[in-house]
Amino acid sequence: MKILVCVKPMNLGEEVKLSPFDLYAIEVALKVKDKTNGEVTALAMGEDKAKEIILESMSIGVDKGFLLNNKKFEKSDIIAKTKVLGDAIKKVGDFDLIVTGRDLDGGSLNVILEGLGKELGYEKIHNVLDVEDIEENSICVNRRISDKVEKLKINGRACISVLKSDLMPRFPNYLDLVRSENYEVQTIDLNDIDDEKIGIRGSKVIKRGTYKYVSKEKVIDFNSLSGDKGGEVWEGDLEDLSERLKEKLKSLKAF
Amino acid sequence: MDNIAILLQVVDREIDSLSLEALNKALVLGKAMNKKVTGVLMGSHLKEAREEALRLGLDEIYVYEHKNFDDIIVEDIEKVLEGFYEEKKPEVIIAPSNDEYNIISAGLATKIDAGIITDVCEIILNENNLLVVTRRANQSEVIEEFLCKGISTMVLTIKKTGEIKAIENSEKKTESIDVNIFKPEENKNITLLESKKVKVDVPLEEAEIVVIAGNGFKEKKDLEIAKNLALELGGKFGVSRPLVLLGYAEHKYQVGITGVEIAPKILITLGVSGAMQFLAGIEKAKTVISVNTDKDAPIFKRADIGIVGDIYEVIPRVIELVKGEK
Repeated sequence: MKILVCVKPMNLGEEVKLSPFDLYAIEVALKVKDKTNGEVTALAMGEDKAKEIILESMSIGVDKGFLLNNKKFEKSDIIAKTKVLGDAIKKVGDFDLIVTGRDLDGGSLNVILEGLGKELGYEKIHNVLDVEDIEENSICVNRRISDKVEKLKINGRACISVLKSDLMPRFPNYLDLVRSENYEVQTIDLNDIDDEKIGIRGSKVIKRGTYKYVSKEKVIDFNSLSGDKGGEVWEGDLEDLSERLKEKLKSLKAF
Repeated sequence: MDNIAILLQVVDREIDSLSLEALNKALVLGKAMNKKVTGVLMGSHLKEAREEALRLGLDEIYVYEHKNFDDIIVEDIEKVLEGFYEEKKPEVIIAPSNDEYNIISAGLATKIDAGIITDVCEIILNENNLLVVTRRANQSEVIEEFLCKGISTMVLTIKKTGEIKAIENSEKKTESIDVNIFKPEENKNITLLESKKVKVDVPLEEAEIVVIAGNGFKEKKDLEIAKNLALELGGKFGVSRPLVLLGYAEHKYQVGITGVEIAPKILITLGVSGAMQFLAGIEKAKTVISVNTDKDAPIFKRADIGIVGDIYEVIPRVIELVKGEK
């Protein structure tokens, strides 16, 4: 299978590293590669120094990678950005499986995955924990939605998002490390992109600012707190009280 | 574009509490924008939820009830809502922010080419009648503020804050519309092979059932009584401040203004006297049941049910009774 893994740079001072969440996405991609004699391509969005994370991905076993220079569409909203990402993926190659990690918050990642599915005409499956029963045209995934874990069989092309899980992401290995050292990462510029589709003009939502979160100073109304809420008071012998409490808990659906 | 839609999630046949929070925001916005508010229910068994929805102050509800809902994956539910969108063309679609509804909302927004903001804390209508929306992603240190350009439908998913104002039993007449013809499509490319429930470890502040031990416990090992009750009810265990000072429990278990503030549906306090700083931390709890030997304990003023009894006797007996009924 041809697999694409989308990775996101994490700034650590001067250094740029793969996000720990992306390591799980890469692990899933590599598992599919191993079973299908496939190929994994990494795509990073970011500035020039984000090339570093392509090389880092390659040191773990990813075959090649591209950088999508994001200068031009920085001010786009998430839907417009996803369209650009979809265009970039089409330029990079033809893939059977697209994997993203959960570096972003869950809600934003849901939007990106749904958007990619639409742009590329792929199925999309969110919140994958692991892959198994990997074959040339199908894979099975375990994925978690709230308190449910589902096992799904996916036939055909799909994009999946991967959560942090019990998987053990692999470490860089010597051969791949050497290979990555001499690799020249190609940049995709998308200069031909229609300006109407990106930036503030191409977005439905404009970001006005970000603020540091400060939990609201709580105003405590002591009078209201200490006021009598007029509840019931139960008195009686042990058996009677216990039975009534059990019945009450039952009616509240506590068990 | 004369309405706002609110997607209401049904869990165990009831409308989920987060959906009620989202509903609050929808009703406030409906009033500000002078738009009708339409509720949407989807699922396999909606009898009880429908009755509940009729009392919530909505203008109308659309009910999509079909047994197939149990077998389709969440990614395919957006298809159900496409028809709804075509008919109503809501200006804003509001939904709870959780795994299911973030996926459904993202799918819907993508499909109908709407704008979307997830994990919304606040929605304000500005002087130009445009929406100003703030979001805060999980555990994020930053709040982001957005201006919606007002050129398309906006989909907003609402983050949990625990603030549910009483909106039950509204006198408003709600029209109920059944969409019977609908049958959720099967997805030919994806097969659901297996589905099982797993235990998700929710933090104390998000737990629906909480059991709190207080000063009435004489020794550290006795806390097992409270822990066992929490376990039996599938709830979380916490303590009041004195027990942390005594070294019986770590600070992360402390409920109150100097510890964790909680908002459970059911709160059981055992041997808690009810100091002011504690009461402030349980302000948002829905039903409070308190067991204490002291009839004059301040906690009894706050409790919906105050049980005058010995925790060492009553609770082990209640655990036995609950076990017997399971």
